[in-house]
This record gives sequence, C-alpha cells and structure tokens, in this order.
Amino acid sequence: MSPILDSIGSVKAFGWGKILSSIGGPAYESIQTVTSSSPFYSAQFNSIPQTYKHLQLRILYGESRTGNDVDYMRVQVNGRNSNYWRLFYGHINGTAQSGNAINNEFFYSSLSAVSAGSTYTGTFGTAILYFMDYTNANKKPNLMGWTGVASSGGFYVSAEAGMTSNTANEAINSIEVYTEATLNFKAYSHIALYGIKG
Amino acid sequence: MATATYEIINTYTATSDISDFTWTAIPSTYTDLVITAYIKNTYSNNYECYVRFNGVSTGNLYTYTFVQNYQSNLQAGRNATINEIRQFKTSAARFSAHEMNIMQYKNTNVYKHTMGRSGDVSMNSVVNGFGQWRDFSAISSITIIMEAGANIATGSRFDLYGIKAE
Repeated sequence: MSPILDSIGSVKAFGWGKILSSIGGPAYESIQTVTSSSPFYSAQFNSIPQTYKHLQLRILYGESRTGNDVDYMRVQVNGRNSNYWRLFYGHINGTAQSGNAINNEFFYSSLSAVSAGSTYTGTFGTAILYFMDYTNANKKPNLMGWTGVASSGGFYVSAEAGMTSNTANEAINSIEVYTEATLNFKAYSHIALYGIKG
Repeated sequence: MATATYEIINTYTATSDISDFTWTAIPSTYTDLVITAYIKNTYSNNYECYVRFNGVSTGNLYTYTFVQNYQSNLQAGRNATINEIRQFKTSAARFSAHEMNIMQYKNTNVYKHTMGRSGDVSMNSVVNGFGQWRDFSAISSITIIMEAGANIATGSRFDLYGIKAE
C-alpha cells in the first residue's frame, strides 16, 4: 500500500527556521516581493539591507507582448548602465545548444521571458538568481543564474550563467529586474527577494 | 520588515521498497515549494522517478524540458504532452541527489512550473529540467512515483519545504 502523508502533521513543528533559531536565528528571510495582476515595467529593490551574507531572487515571469515569442529578462545592480558585467553562459533554445563568454555586457540577460501570446496562456519562465557575498565592498559583484521555460508549444529554453562585474569592487545596494527595455512584465509575474545569512 | 521563511513541511523516508507515495493537504501558506530527495531504485540505471500534482495522471497535461549529460552524452529535448514531470533520474547502484522547485504552487492565475536538478555518479548523469502542469488549480497534493518496472528503494528520502514571500 502506498503511503499517504498528511503534510500538516507534527513534522511541520520542526521547521528549518525553528531548528536554526536554537543556534542563532533563521537563516533565510523574505525581504521584498513585487507582483501585480496588471503588466508592470520592473521590480526595483532599493536600500537592500546589508545584514545578510547572500541574496536570492526567485522569479516567475513573462513579458506582455501579445505575439508568441520569448524575450530576455534583464538585471542591473546599483543603477549601473554600461559595460558592467562579464558573462559566461550555457544555453539551449529548443534543441540548439550554445555557450559563450561576453565582456562588457550591459545587463545580466536570459532568454526565458515568455510572451502573453495565445501559445503561452498561463505559461511563465522561471528563474533563481544568487548574489554571493553581496555586502563585501572588497569584491566585484557577482550573479549566478538558473533560468528556463517548459511549454508544450512554441519555445522551450534553459540557461545557466555566471556573471562577475567588470568594474570596481563594491557592495550591492540596489537591484532592478525587467524585461527588454520597451516591454513590460506580463500580469502575475512575481519577483521575490530573499536574504540568506552566513 | 524581513520575515523568516524556509520551513520543512514534511519528510518521508521509505522503510520498504515502494512504487509511490503522496503528500496530501499541503498548506497554502507558502509561495513556492522545494523538494529535495536522495533516491535509489530497485532495478537498474536510468529509471525516472515521476512527480504528479493533485492526483492528475491522465490527459497529457504535463511538459518536461531538459538538458542533461548522461554517460558523457550531452542531450536536450522536450516531452511536450505527458502525464508526469520526469525530473528525478535514478540508478539502482547508489542513492542520487535531486532538487525540485515548484514555483507559485497556489497561484490560480498561472500554470504550475518546476525547476529541477539531479545528479548521479554511478551512471555519470547530471540533469537540468523544467516542468509544467497546464492547470490553474492550486497544488494541494504531490505524488512521487517510480517509473514502471522498478520501485523506490528502501532508505530513499524526500523532504518537502515551503518558502514564503512577503
């Protein structure tokens, strides 16, 4: 007989946060979330607390174009707008695989923002991004990204990328996430920022 | 104000060889779910442990897209219309490590999407997979089921976590 487990059982009382609180407090905290039932241009996280060791963004997203297409999600930090990132990525778009290194990239970018076209009703791209040791002003900012789309029709993509800033050492104080410059996130996109203590 | 949020919901460890198990009555108090698993099967290499939601096992409502390096062969593809998400590639020789993120599991305005990674040394396999369940329903139960012909081996462990966004 296959086990059926009631997820509201007593095990829940031993949550990760509660276990860690006995040795110093919760290690993973929600900082801020941006979402809307209408299209919106970007998610801005300003004055990010410098009290964590690492940051994580968890994202469900698409863009509001009505055609059937997949576009880029972009990430900027500290308001930088030119030649900021050095990018290395591996990528598939359908069955075509590619990888590359790019210097002087303006943004972190990933081809996984599905449009609002009829092929993609209900379909969103997914992403988890890490910013490691983001408060350290003696290191260049970095980003480790994992993104992808599963869809029964149209595009399906997957990408993993590592990024390091080209510029001077600095802590990350602000992050902005958006799609291509002239597009909006489609309704119900959800961008959540978390802090991880070290 | 920041809120602590990454909690264990339930843990299951197989005390005998089994074909499947189900987490039911998953709380709706989180934003995303995460499954971590350490799995071995009872039969052979390359048996996939499937994931289904809310007991749905018909209608070809799932899609699974993957990139994998399996026995030194880089492969990518899509199972566009299937009845499960085929994320957890397992062997019979060793326990292997797996993770699946279930994004926005209770959001009734979106289809349900997963991001998963798996690795197994005994069959030289790493997998990066993305799943979709084309249904707007909130997920209230998750079934883990081994591909036909094998079972989930004794000692395999599955942990279900909840992450809450404020």
